[in-house]
Amino acid sequence: MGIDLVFKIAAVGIIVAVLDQVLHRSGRDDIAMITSLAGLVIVLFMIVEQISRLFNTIKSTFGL
Amino acid sequence: MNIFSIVGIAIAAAAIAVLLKRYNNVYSLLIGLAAGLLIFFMILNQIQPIFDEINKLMNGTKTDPKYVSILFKCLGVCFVSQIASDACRDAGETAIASKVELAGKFTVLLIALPLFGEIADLALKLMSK
Repeated sequence: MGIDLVFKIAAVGIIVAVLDQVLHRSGRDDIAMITSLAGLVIVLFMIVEQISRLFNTIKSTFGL
Repeated sequence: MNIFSIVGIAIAAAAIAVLLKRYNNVYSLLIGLAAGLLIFFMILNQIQPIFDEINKLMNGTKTDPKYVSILFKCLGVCFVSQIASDACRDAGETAIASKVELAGKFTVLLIALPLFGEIADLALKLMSK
């Protein structure tokens, strides 16, 4: 893990924002909502992995 | 833990978060969280010598190792609850952030609870002398 994670989240965010606007303009509001939801879930999965790693590291470092 | 790389990561992440805030607030929160975790990992990877030194100093003063482990546990709880409350505060949810802090405080108190009993015992012993 490095700064790549931040860039990955930024890329997903920008792509989802563009898709959202395009779909809103073409009048498909329902699909736009699903797209933004899917992007959010993808990013959340990326973050949750790191959070679990953080918990494991803290547990082993501080002896919790 | 190269301070220059941490500064670079922080500034890049802040710029991206500000950029994305216009389109979607959630992504800026998640970028803040990711950058925070990244910097935290960089710190934790290098922190071991400090712990070893503290352990050595505590061994030199003949302190019970139980107390040192309680100290480190409290430190870990503080770090975790601070990360969570900062993320909540970034998202604008100060109420949830303060609840997380409250939970962290009580957890620290719960971990340190055996010490209070020992202090009371010590005080009673001194008084009976």
